[in-house]
Amino acid sequence: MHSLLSRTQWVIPAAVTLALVADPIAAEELKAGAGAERRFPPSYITTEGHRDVKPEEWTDPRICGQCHTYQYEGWNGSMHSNAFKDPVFQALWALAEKADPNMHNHCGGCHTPIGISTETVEFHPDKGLHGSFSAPEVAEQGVSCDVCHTISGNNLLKTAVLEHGNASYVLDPGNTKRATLENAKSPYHETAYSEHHASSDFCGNCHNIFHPGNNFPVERTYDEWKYSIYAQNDIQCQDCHMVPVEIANKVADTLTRPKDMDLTDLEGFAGLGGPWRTFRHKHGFVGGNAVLTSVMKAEDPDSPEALGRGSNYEEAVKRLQHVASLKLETVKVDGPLHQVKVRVTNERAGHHLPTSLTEVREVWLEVVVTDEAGHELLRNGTLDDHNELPKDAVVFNAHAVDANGQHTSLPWEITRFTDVNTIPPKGWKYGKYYFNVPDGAKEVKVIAKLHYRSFGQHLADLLLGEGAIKVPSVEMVSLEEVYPVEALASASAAPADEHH
Amino acid sequence: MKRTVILSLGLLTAFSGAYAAEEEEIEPFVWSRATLDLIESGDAARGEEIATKQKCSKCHGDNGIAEDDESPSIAGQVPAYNFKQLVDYRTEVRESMDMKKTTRRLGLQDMSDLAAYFATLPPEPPEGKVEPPLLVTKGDMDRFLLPCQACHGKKGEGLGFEVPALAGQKIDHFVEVMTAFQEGDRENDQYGRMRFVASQLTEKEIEQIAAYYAAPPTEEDEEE
Repeated sequence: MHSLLSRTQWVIPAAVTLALVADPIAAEELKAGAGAERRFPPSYITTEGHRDVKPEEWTDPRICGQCHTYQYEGWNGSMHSNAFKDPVFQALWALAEKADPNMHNHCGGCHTPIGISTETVEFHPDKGLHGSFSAPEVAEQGVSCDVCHTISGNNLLKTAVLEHGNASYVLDPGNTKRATLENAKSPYHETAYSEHHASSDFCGNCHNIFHPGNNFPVERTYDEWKYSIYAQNDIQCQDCHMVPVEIANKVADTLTRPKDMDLTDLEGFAGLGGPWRTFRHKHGFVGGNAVLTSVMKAEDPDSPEALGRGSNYEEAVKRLQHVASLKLETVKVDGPLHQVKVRVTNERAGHHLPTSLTEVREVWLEVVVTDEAGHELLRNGTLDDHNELPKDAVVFNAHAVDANGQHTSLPWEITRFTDVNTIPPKGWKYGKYYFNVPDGAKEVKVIAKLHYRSFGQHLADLLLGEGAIKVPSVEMVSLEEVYPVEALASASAAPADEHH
Repeated sequence: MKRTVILSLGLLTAFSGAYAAEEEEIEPFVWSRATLDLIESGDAARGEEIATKQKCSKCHGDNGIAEDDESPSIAGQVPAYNFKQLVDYRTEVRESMDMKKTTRRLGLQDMSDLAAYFATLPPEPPEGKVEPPLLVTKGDMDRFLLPCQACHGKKGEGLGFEVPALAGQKIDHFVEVMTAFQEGDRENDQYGRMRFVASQLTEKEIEQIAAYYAAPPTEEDEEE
C-alpha cells in the first residue's frame, strides 16, 4: 500500500528525473502539489474539504444496480467498468510505474479514482509480465456509479494548463448522489441536482490528459471537442455517448441535442419506485474501443461482472461503422501513371478521429486497385503476416517522440508530436496513391476500406507478451468504384486541395 | 410496436364496453407511455363488476383478502403491479393454470379496471407481532442486498408507481413466491431483481421476512 508518506518520499526524486524533460515551473508545481490541498499529485484529485476518505464510503455498483438496473446494465462490462481491470491498461501502468513513480497517481487518478483517493492501490512488480495492481474490490470497479455521482466539482483552475484534465475533480463520497434530475427522490440516498454532470466539462476531467512533467497534451479529446462545431452547437459528450448509436448519429447529422428531439425510445423509470422519465441516459459510454471487449472473450451470461460484455463490443463496432465516410477520385496523371485520392471524412465524432491516445490508435486506409482481369495494380494498407501495418500505409494518428526525438508509444516518455494526422470533427483528410495502368486495360476497380484498431500488434506484444493476442481490427467503412480507362484518360490530376 | 398494440387494444375494449374480449391477442408486458396511460385509466367501478363476474373472490376473498394462506391477498395492491401480473398470466410469462384460465377472456382495459378496483380496497394490516429483521431495515451489503424497505416502502406498503406492497400477505404465500423466485420457477420480475435477492436468502431468512410482513394466519390455519 502506498501511504501519503511514501508518496511524498518519491515525489522529489521523481521531479528531478522529470526535470530532464519537464518545464521547471511544472516540476516546482509538482513538488508544491504534495502539500495539504493537492494530496494525490500529479493528479488533481481533491476531496471535499480535503478530508480523508475510505473505500467503505463508496457504494458497490451492484448495490446501485438493484434500483437503477437500466443504468447498471449499460455500465456493467463497459470500458468504465473495466478501467482498472483492463489488462492492457494494467500492463502499461506497470511499465509506467517502474519508469516513473509519478505515474501511479497520474494513471490511477482516472482509472481507479477510489483507489487513488483512498491510497489503497498496491503495486505488485513481480506479478504478471510487467507487474500488476490490486485495490479494494470497490476501487477495482474502475469508474463506477458512485465515483461519478459523488463528484461535487472540478479543479479546473488549479491545473498547470488551466484546463480540465489529469483527474481534476472533487470527490465527496457519502449519502448524497448527484445527477441531472432536478426532482429526484430516493428512499435509500439523498439526491442533489448537478449541472456539472450534464456538461462536457465533467468528462473533460479525465478525457483530457497532459504530461505531468512537461504539460504536453497527450490525450486531447475534451480540447478537440471544445474547439469543434459540436461545442459551438452546445452538443455535449453525454449527448452522443449516453444514447444509442442510432440517436448519436442523428445528433451528429443535425447538430441537435437529444433533449430537443422528439424521442420516445429512452423513456422509462430511472430508478425503482421513482417517476416515469421521458429520457434515461445509457451508461455504457461506448466509444470506439472495441478491442478489449473483443479480445477478452468473456461473454459468459452467468458472469455478469466479467470483462468484455458482448453488447458493449457490438455497440462500439456500430459506432465505428457509422463515424466516417469515404469518397474516391481517380485521375490520369501522365502516360500510364494514375492517381487515386481517397477522402476520409469524420462525419459523426465530436472529437478527432481517432482520439485519446492518438499515438497508439490506428485508423488506416487499405486501398486495392485491379484491372478487369483481376491483376493487382496497387495494394496499400493491408496488414502483413505479423498483423502489422506496412510502413507506407496512410494512417490517421499522431507520431510521438521522446526527449531525444526518438519515436515512442509510451505516454510518459512523450515530449511532443512530430506529425498529427487525426481528422477533426466534420473535417476530412486524404490518402493519395499512384498506380500504372497497363497497355490494353479497359477498366480499373478501386476498393478503399477504412480500418480501426485501438493499438497495434507490436504494442500488444510488448504489453501482454509475444503472440498473447492477435489484435482485432474493425472495418469501419468501404467503397468500391469501377472506372473505364478511357474516361480516366480524359481527366487530369487536379491540384492538391487537401488544405483541411 | 408493442406499445401500439397495447394502446389500440385498450381503446378497443374501452369503447366496446364488454369486459370479456374474445381471445384478444395480447403482447407480453412492456413498460411504455401507453402502458402507463392504460393503467392510469383503470375504472374501479367497472373493475368491481368484472371481479364479481369473474368470481375473483373464490380465491382472493370477498374484499381482495385471501381466505387461505396459500393465495395472495390483492386488496390495496399497487395497480401497476396487479395489472402486470394479469398480463403476465395471460401471456404465460407467469405460470398458473387457474389464472391463465381466468385471464383468457380479459382484455387489457379489463385488467386495468380490475387493478384499479383492488387498489381501492383496504389491505389487511400485518399482524405486527414481529420486530423487523435487519434484512428489512438495513439489508446486507456483503451480499449486495438492499433493505427490503428501500424498495417496498417503510412498512411494506409499496413504492412509487410499480413496486408492490408486501404487507398483509400470508406467510405461506410469501414464502412460496420467494421460493419460486429463488428456484427460478417465477421469472417475471424485471431485470431479475427479485430472483437475485431471493437467491441470496436462506430459507430461514425468507420465513423471518415473511413473518414480519404477514397478516395473521387464517383461522383454519391456526386450528391446525
